[in-house]
Amino acid sequence: MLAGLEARNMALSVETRIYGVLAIVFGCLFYAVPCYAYIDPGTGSIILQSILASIAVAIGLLRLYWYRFKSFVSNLTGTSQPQNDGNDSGFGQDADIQNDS
Amino acid sequence: MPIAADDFDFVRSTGLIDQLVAADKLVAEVILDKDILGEVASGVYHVLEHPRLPYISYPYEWSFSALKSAALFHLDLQQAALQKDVSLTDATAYNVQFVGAKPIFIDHLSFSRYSEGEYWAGHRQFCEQFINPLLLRSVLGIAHNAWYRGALDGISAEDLRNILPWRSRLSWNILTNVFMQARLQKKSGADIDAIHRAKSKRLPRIGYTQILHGIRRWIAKLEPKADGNSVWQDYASDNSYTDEENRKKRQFVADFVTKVRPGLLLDVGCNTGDYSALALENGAGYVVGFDFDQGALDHAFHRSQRESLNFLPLHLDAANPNPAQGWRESERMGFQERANGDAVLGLALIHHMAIAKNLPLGSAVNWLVEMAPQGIIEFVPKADPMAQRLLLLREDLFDDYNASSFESQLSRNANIVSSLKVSGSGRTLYWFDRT
Repeated sequence: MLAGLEARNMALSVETRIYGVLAIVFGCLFYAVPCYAYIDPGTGSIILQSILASIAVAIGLLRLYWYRFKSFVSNLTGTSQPQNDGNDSGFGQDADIQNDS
Repeated sequence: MPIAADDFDFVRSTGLIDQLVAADKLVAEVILDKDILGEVASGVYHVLEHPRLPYISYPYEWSFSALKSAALFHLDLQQAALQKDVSLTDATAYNVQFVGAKPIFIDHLSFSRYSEGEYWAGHRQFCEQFINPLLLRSVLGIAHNAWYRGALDGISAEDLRNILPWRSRLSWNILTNVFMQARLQKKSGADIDAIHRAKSKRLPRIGYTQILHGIRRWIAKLEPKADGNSVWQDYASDNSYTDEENRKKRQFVADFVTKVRPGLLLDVGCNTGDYSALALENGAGYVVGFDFDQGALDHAFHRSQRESLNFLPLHLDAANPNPAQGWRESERMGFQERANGDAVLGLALIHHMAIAKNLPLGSAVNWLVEMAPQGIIEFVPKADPMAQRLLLLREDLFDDYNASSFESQLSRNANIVSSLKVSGSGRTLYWFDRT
């Protein structure tokens, strides 16, 4: 998911990108949401979804820092690095974090 | 004003409904003048009219392929809706119907306004009514129909995790959607504080779409467990007919359909859909096929998908058709109530009912005759190799299983228009008409 954002925000600095993503995520905390659903969603399902979302964010952040680290190293050593690794998979084999919907 | 009024207006304003109807993904909706209801109209916000579908079917009657197709359809629908800030309030499989092999959505009030941060309220239901039944077949090789028919609301994660093999935990998707969900539910389900905390949780839209996307990719790859060929899948090519006999049989059926021109034809024992397709080619409007073999059903469904046929194959155990079920035993119609066609085909079927299942011959014949005013029933004599196979390990109790007895049973409730012997072993097609 965040790889896609990267592709779009190539021109922005890494800091801006990180803050942008965090703003989206934490911004949601301040919006009102409907407390009541038509059917019982199940607390297990809700907790699971928030865990999955947190994992996705955490992995996305890790990858941002990794790219930052790589460009730091390439600046030090003076070698050129590709700006973007492309859409590699996120966690696990089955879930694929791509921004193509 | 009803609670859902605001959602209703919002969704219509996005143009989503028109878009879906135009793409044949949602049954058409016409908003009528409320006065059509007269006095009852007070308190009513809208009166909607919808066209009818040719045949109603339920998830426990679908093949694996049909259920999978419905699941993917539902996820795609949600993603299309989210792009217009619309979400679905539930994810029940009964909101999907089929026209041929094409899924279509029928719950116009399931759409509501998406609020930033809302979680996927239908996730648990989606797991129970789509994913878990698919996993039952995909991981364990067990068809979902019998269990699903009994548990109308689907298969719970708590039950499924108890029978999944340990190695299925190695799949991230199964681990999260089955094992973790069940465990989290158990831990927090009765805990009031946890429930309150859950109410205030937020899910960013990105997270929501990624969960939908990930599950969609996963389900697209699910296939029935490969555990050898099914009994009937090879039947279409491996049976006791010669080519000439096949041709005669097909001609007889084609002539029948051409003459009768049924709007709705029921093909009981449709196998891979050869005769269903033949009927459509010769003027039948819509064919619903029934069979009990899973491999044949999947094959038939794929065929209908590939060739875009007006053909819907469904699971049926002729000796145990689905009864009316649900609240007051009338939420889901029984087989009997729906099995009313303009024509019926009962080919290579009667020997299975009478010999293999010990059903009285007259009773089996009447069951078919009651389904439509005209039809074709094939009588397979004991001498036939396929019937012989059924008798191999059994005592031959079937004294009255013969052609003349069959003819007299059939004549009781219908006229025999014509008959044709189509095989050397004595297989005979009978065209009946009870009008």
